[in-house]
Amino acid sequence: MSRLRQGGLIDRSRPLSFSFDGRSLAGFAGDTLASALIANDVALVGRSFKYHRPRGIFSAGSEEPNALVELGAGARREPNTRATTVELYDGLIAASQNRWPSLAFDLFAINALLSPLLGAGFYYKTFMWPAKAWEKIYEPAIRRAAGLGRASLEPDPDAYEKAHAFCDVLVIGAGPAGLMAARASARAGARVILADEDFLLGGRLNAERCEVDGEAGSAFAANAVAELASLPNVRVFSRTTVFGVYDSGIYGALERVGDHLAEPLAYAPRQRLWRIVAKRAVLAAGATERPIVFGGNDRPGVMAAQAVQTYLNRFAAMPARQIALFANNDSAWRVGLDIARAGGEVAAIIDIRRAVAPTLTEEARRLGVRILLGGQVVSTSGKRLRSIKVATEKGVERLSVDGLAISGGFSPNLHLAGHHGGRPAWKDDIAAFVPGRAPPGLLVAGAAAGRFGLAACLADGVEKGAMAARDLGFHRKPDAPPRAEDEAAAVEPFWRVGASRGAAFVDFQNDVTAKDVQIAHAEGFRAVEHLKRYTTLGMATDQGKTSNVTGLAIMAALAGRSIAETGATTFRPPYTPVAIAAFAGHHRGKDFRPTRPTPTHAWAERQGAVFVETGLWLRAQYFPRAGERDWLESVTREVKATRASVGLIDASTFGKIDLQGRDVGAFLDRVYINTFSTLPIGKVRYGIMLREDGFVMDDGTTARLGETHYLMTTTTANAAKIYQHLEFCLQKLWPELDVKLTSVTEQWAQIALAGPNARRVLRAVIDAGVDLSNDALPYMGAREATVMGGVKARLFRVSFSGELGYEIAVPARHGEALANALMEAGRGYDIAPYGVEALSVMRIEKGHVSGPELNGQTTARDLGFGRLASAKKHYIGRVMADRPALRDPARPSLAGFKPVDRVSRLRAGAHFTALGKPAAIEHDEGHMTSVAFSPSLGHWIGLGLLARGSERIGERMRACDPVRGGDVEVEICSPVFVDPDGERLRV
Amino acid sequence: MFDFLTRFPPALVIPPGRYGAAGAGVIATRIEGLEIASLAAAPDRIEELRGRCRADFGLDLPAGPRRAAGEDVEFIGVGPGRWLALGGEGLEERLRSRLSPAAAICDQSDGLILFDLTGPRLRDTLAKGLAIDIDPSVFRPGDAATTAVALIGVTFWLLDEKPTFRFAVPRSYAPAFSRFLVASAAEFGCVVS
Repeated sequence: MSRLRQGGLIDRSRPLSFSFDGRSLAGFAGDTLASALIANDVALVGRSFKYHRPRGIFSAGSEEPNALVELGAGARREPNTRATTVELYDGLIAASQNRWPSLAFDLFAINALLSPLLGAGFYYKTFMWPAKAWEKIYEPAIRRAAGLGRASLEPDPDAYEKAHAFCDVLVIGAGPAGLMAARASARAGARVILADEDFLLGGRLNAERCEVDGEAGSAFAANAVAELASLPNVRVFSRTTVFGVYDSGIYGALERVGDHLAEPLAYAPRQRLWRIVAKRAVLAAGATERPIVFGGNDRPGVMAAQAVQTYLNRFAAMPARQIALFANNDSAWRVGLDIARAGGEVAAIIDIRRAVAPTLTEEARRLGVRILLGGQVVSTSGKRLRSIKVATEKGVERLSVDGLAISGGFSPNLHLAGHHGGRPAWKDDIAAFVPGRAPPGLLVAGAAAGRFGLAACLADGVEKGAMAARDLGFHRKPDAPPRAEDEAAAVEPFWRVGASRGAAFVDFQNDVTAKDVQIAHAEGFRAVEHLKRYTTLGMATDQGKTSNVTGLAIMAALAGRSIAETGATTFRPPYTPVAIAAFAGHHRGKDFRPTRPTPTHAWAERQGAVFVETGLWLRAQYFPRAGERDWLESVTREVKATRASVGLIDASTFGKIDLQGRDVGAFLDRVYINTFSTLPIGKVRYGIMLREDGFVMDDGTTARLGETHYLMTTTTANAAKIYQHLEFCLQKLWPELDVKLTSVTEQWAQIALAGPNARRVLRAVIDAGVDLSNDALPYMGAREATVMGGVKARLFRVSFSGELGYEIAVPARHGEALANALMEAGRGYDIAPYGVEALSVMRIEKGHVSGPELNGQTTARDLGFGRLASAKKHYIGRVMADRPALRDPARPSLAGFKPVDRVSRLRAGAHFTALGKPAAIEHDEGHMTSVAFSPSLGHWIGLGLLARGSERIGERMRACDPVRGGDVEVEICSPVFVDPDGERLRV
Repeated sequence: MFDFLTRFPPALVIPPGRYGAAGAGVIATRIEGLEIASLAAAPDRIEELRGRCRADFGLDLPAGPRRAAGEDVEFIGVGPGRWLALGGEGLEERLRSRLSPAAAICDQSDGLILFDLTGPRLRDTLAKGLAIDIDPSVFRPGDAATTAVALIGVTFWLLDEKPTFRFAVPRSYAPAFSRFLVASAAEFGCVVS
């Protein structure tokens, strides 16, 4: 056990058991998986991406490049989880990944021997030939060998959700700067949200031995958090990563609600995606320690110095027995001193610098720590680190150590500050990039802004928090920052040990070495964005948090440019990976989008309807009866029953738009191609609307209910679009017109009753005194009435089926009662409810166009409505519809089609070619848009768009359907197959 | 979405009952018996309409997303020149006789379903769907909004400080709205009455 006997911010009264690669281990509440593994002396945690090199734990945070594990089992198994961010829970199951057959013995480690062949760009150079082999051989082989964990292939059993939050000031990060910023803003009266990715707030205050206002840093942090949590104007989010900055002060954040539990609590989501709208924000995300590049710097046991400090102080876990430090800065010295004070053995502090602040060296000497100034680690050995070789002026020396803490300086976590494209600026004095132009409203505080001392962070936090609040009108003199010391933070830029031996890694996660950077440079991929793409430096889950700056510093040196000239790669959201499920939230499965039932849904269900989704609506597709073998049999019966006697269908889904005002007639004349101002009161007219570009947008009927009152119907699919279009016309094009639009789609249930007995059935439900005779309510007539004893109703004598038809509209709550009443009244006539399939069959039999013909590529003329278009007025689309190409008589136009042999089935989507011509694109003359089996004719029929179609009645064509293997000879005919003169409509 | 919701067909409003965790973090009640009508006025008739409302109903039509309530009728601002009116029986006729033709009046009593929502965790629940700020310091009794919740267009207003929010949901979207509500309130305990 490497667990120290005392100390740490773990709860020793709550032991937890967990397993790693099948081995049972123990930890405590407050541990991460990484700290618990360290406490159990587990050093080998994973295999690297490309070379399958053994890897351990490098960091103690979300920047972790190495310790990626598969977490959980079964449907909850999640690959590529950073052990350093996983909060330990009882029963946690973790497994190493990217190894076979075992972590200790991985056959793919042979890749390491091949590494001279597998350098940057090896895919492009090696797998070029033969081209065919890429998909079948090379790619699968590469994918098997290279890679990360295995995803569970089972459905995700957990729930996710999205939520919105609003605040004056969002503080990102709850370290010393963030806590002070939140406190200053909150005390000034601003609404504050404080978010931190950790489960314990305080940042480095919990990881370093420090004092603030006379108390231990961790105690100070706990008290500050408690104060914030107690304020009514503050919300504190732990386990929450702010991952992106979007427009207008919108921040994306992921809250891990249940990831610290074996399963989320019942009824709680696993994760919650927050959209935080903040007037101001303070980014206090701290800084990330960089490794130094030298041979064997990736060996398990080599760890970031601050991570060693975190494991030691926060988790009371000593990562190794004998630890050496290798650094270019003062911070690492304090880590060495912490180890020594905790009773650990510090083999040496190796610093590339020849001179270091005497306060550090004196303290090290006092604690008996050996100091090697001007030294460099040149190589390491051991599967788990056993020894290192150090070169100094006096020669090369071998040190037996099982731990090496390294530090190449610090990179401010400025990612979010760059999400709007602001480029970071290089600062030589701290050897780091600091934020450039930040997104509007975002201030950067503390280490994220390159201010590295504790006192400086606390003071900067107070200042930025107060500044953000003051900006919003919350004036309060900020309190003095708490007392603390600025520890020594000198640094000398240093990236790479030039004279080292063995693979020297820049990016651990992607196995990118210093040599790969050299290759990229030699081959001309010198710009940082090219370097990234050519070598994969800085890609994948860690996005190069530990490696980017080092990589580009090496490139800068190779290219003889400064780092400032070389520049950094672009920062894009998300800061750390976010599960896709979190973006979906509740909208999964049947809740992907709303389901809209019709007013007669329950009635249709009782009638045994099979339903179909049409847009958001759920409509009855057909009503199978006992003994019917398939849908076609049911649909054929429904059509026959309607044509022979009477049938009904819920037509409520059509868009219904109420138009009132003096100018409605004039308005309709401008949006329809035909004239509506002349429509008499009590009449309905069919109309076509064009888009501005001259193509047909929608069709439908509009009734005139009064002098200044019209009611328009649109197709189901276009209901919202047409409303929007009309609203646009009124608001933008013709605001002078007195027209008021109101959607009444939801208000009215509308049932279409069709068939020769429709009038007789309707008469039974209509209240006495309403004359339904052909004279009183002729075809295309409309009137108001009451039904079922006083229920207000609107009657429209219109027909989509081609039969005598009425549409009866009643307030939606009465829709079901109306359906029942009509069924009862129609019992003697064998009334049949029919669904959208039968509706479609009947409209095809009548040659009525619908969605497949109103496809956005057809003109009114194409569809046979050329004569409907008025030449006496202007309307939307008229000018553009007159373009020569749209008037071309050779354009595909609407025609009907029958199979010549009458027994063949037609298929929508089949393409027309002349007989004897091959089924090739150059012979294409159009396509079949809609087909149906016509019960009236006893064979399949189709509508289609064929070049000069309407002039070619009687000709024969091939209808080729290579997708489904169909090739049918068809005869061109009129698109109206049933009752061409419309006699049945007018009876 | 939570497993327990898969028991309910997506086309039906979740039936009355207790859902999710123990407790009553959110209580949802369907309101019946109120008639609803929409008012739409052309820009040049709005002042006239205001005057008539003042004279006939003793109410100032809200100029923004607010609620103005009198004894027998209330108006909710839902857009420029647009209001929802709610009241007792005969609302549409009453409005038409007094306000036509300054405004186009349409019955919406069947087009909108009303839900009263209350409970100690209501704001936390609504935050899962509403993209607007309903903090008590910002959204006060009498305030209204026409917006989207879980892909559903709704109008809602705050009746009191308990808080009670009244939602007007298009009829065909009521099932989806109820699913959003029950799923979002499940962790706090949800009572549908």
